[in-house]
Amino acid sequence: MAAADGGAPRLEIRSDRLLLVEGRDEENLFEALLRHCFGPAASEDIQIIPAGGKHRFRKNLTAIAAAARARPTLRAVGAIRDADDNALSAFQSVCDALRHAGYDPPSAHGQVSVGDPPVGVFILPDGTGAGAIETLCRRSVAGNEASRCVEAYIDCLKDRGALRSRNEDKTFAHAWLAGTNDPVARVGEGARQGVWDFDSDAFAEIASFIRKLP
Amino acid sequence: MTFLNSFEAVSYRGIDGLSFPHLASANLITGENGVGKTAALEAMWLFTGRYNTGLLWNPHVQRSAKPILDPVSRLAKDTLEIRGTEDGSAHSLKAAFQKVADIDGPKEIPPVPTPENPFMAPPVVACINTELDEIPPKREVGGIHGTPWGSVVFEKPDRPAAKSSCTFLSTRLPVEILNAALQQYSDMVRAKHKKDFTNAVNLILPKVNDVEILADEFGEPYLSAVTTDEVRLPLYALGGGVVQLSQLFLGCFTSRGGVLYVDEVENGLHHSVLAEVWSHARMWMRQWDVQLVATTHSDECIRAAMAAFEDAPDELAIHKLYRNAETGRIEVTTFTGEALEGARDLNLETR
Repeated sequence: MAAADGGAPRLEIRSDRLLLVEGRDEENLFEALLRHCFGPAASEDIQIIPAGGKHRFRKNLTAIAAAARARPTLRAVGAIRDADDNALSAFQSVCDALRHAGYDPPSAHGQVSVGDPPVGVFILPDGTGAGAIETLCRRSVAGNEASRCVEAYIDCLKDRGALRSRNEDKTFAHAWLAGTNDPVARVGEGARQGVWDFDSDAFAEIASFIRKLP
Repeated sequence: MTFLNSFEAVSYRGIDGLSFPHLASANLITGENGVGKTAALEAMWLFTGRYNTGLLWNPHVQRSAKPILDPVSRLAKDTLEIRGTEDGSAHSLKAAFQKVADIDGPKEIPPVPTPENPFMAPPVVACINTELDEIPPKREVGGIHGTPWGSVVFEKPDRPAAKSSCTFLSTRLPVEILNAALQQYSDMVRAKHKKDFTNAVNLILPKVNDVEILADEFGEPYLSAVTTDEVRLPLYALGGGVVQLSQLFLGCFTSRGGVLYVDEVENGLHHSVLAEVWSHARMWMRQWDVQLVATTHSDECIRAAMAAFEDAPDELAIHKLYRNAETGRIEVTTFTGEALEGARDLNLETR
């Protein structure tokens, strides 16, 4: 709903199934993933909400929970977050935020609790290793011959001591995006253009998690 | 000081069971039309005014100036019951109407006083039984309310000495509000806050230099604004925004140490002044120790309130009323503290 004075439109809870992701880029990527894996109506059925970066996630989740309280038909809440350096720590942080907001989190990554509403948590890329959404994107195109060119570029930078980025997956993703038809800056924007292979095994676990939400 | 910490309308005007577990210094009640925002406001006012049984007949509560015999029947199915925590202590009010004589219809008041009825009061036909804090009524007559059908007697509990006044600003009955405003204005001037009042009016009308009480051609007093060009105009003629702002200021002053209830707080105020109004309202609330409970439909009003309390999200609460589709009951979800910060961050709809 747009504000009458022209302010940015307000975020409304409009679905009984919520998928909380970190930011706008993740929102774009997961909307594209939903449409690809579950059909065009999936984004109507599951509402993806950018819940703010990891530092604002707890407060924002409290607000979302307050708003969702006015929706007694709420069926499920899923939370997806990057592991970054430590998947276990990321999982615990998300579960703490869920408990603080009054939700009953699952006991493990990739699982859905039996609370009211049921709540699921997924830590990217796979609940065990370090990484983020860019890790899955890189893995999804690993079978593509052109990916060897990007890997070679990264190796070349390393050999020359010129790789400044601490996140190789992000470096790969941006380099990959730079070679596409209509180069864009973010993985989510690339997802909307069909740049990542959602049918690859890389996205199988996250797709299965989303399918698990009641 | 009176501070309402929490409130529950156990039996009141279709919002039975509606509970506000936590109230902040400034509270905005939002929700769709007909969900019970104004009813919740009235009920809270009745609760903070529970030592004054006559409040049950108040036009703000009855939503009409027409006389009524049984005020409880318009407010609850049988017994009216409201509860809450005030200044950390739990309190409750139950009120029930009971007939004590036959009531056929409106009666003529006796034209002359008699030894039996020196004040020409209509005969007693009913009583209001009130139970404060679950203490049964003593059945002593403390007050009498005359109606065309007869008199209704009620107890008048002793009001605690420390009890502050709590004011209700309604969207209705502008004439009565105007008369009350003159008294409030006079009290405010005696307390040497006239310049503050003019500064408040300046938020909307920078050319207003002063405010006086003048009399019209019928001898009726009214508040008059004086401009920098020495032009005198009735304050009520300067637009709904000035009237609303004046009432907010006077309401805060009159409710010092207590609670100010405002229905549709944004009425008459253009969205461009709301930020300033809220900033000043917060200042008046602090200056006079006032707790504010207001209803609103306006997104701009909510944004302005959030901005005014950005550094203190625990001092503002937005209570969204909604009808539970499964049970049909009216319930509330509250955004305050972290949840308010999150709502602002996400630009979340809170109405």
